[in-house]
Amino acid sequence: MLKKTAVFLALFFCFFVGWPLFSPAGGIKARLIPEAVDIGTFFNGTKVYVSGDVSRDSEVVVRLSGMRQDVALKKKGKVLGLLWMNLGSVTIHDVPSMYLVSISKDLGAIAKKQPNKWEELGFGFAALEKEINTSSPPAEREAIFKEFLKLKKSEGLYAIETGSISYTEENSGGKSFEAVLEIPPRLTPGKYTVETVAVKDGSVTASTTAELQVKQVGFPAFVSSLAFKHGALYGLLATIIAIVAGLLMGVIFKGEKGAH
Amino acid sequence: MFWHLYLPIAGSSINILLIFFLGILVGLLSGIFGVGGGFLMTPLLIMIGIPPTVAAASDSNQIVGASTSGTLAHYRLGNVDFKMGLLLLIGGVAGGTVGVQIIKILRELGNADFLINITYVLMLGFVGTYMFLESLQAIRKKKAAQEPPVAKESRYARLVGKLPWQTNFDTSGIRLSVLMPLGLGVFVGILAAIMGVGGGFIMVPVMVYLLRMPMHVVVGTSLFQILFTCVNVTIMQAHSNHTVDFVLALILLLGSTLGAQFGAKISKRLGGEQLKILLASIVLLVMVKMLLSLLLTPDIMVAYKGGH
Repeated sequence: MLKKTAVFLALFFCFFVGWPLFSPAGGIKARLIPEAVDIGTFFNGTKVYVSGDVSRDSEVVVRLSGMRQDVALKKKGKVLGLLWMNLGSVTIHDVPSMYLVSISKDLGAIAKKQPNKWEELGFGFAALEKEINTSSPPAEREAIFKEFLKLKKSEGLYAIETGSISYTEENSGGKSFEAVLEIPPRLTPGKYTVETVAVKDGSVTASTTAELQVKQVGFPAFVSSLAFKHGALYGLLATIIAIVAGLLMGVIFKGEKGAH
Repeated sequence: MFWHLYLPIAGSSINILLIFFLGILVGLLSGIFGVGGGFLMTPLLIMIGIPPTVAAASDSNQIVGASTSGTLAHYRLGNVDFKMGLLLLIGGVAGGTVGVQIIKILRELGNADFLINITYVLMLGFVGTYMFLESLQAIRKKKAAQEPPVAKESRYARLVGKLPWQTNFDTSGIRLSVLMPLGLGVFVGILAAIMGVGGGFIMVPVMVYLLRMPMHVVVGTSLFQILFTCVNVTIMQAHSNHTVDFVLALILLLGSTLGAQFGAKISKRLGGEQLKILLASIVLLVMVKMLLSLLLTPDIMVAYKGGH
């Protein structure tokens, strides 16, 4: 009994009193809330909070990235010098399905004033561009990536959210941070990676990585598994339900007519 | 929170009310004019962020419901020519099969998109303009003088009269060769497959001008025919491409089956010429929209490649 109490007290001490003392100097710790995202029937995007402690003179950058995959795109071009059409295609290799970067207002201001310094950290879109390959000739690469970026941004899948990290000062020389990641409704199930790094004097001093599991649950999960595993049956059911709904509506309306 | 539903196949969430009202709108069109409304609905769905392939496939699932509802309503009004509908359908299925092969060859040649877009604009433009002018003329004539319709047999009518296997279509009140609906069914089927639509807006003018059916019977019969086409498309898409989002289709369906019932009633009240002019205006509007999208510089120069 005494032993248990001692353990409890030790844990209590570590947690509420000791924690800020451990983290700031070298490492960085981050906690995700929630640790997994469930896509249910009424899912309409969500927020993921990343919080932890860091030394007072550091900035924090949080990056959430989706699985890397090849993306096939249609290129638009002019036909007969007049009509815009899809002309040819291009593949972008190994790009993350989602790319959300969360930074504080201060860091955002620096990034605006000194874009080179920001990109050197390796979390901006220019850094991402360096990592990827396209099937197009090198001359077109830059333009294609720019348009790809526009496409992803318009879907809310790629974003650099300035001012989405806030800090609270602590007494012990450190500060707590909380980043809010806005997860858009257009979310595909899978494993997502959340990297949290501490930045000091223009370079990364500590980092930690966590995994965010996204899966469909309930009705959406049921519909997906039926659609992909038993396509023909799913199609048949979908048409039967549609026909029944149509007939039902017809019957309801006939009933109404009779009442007049 | 409640007003949003997650679409498992489209991989995004949508506002229930918005989709429901879209459904009512297209259901109304369907009930009034006998078109599936795919040529309107699919672009609208894409505009609110549904992937194109999922939009087209889920829409055909929705049309199954709307056209069932509409066919039933028109059947009660005595407006469905089953004999004609079946013959058109047989032709349509054959034509659709041919059309899919043509598209395959075009894709291999690499210029499919160009041809599809041009076919679209030209067909919409031609059909819309012709219907519009013809109906306008008819309305003017009716107002100007009550002269009896000219009973002059056109060359077209004489040619059609010479075809073998003439038979009576009682509901439509016409006598025609079986070959006519079969052949025209093939023609519409090919075009519909190439353009990736149900073909209602081509089928209606074909029935009116080439088969010379009365407008009200045209609407009911077209819906009957569209029902089967879309059952086929839905099952095929679900089976081979996994692009039917049933959640999306179901909400659309609730709206469109309701809309189709009202549409059928409105259709009965409007005169045939008025119906034609309205449909022609909508067709022309869609044509202009398509043309603009071809002429204006796109905001984003790349798009996701459809299909898998």
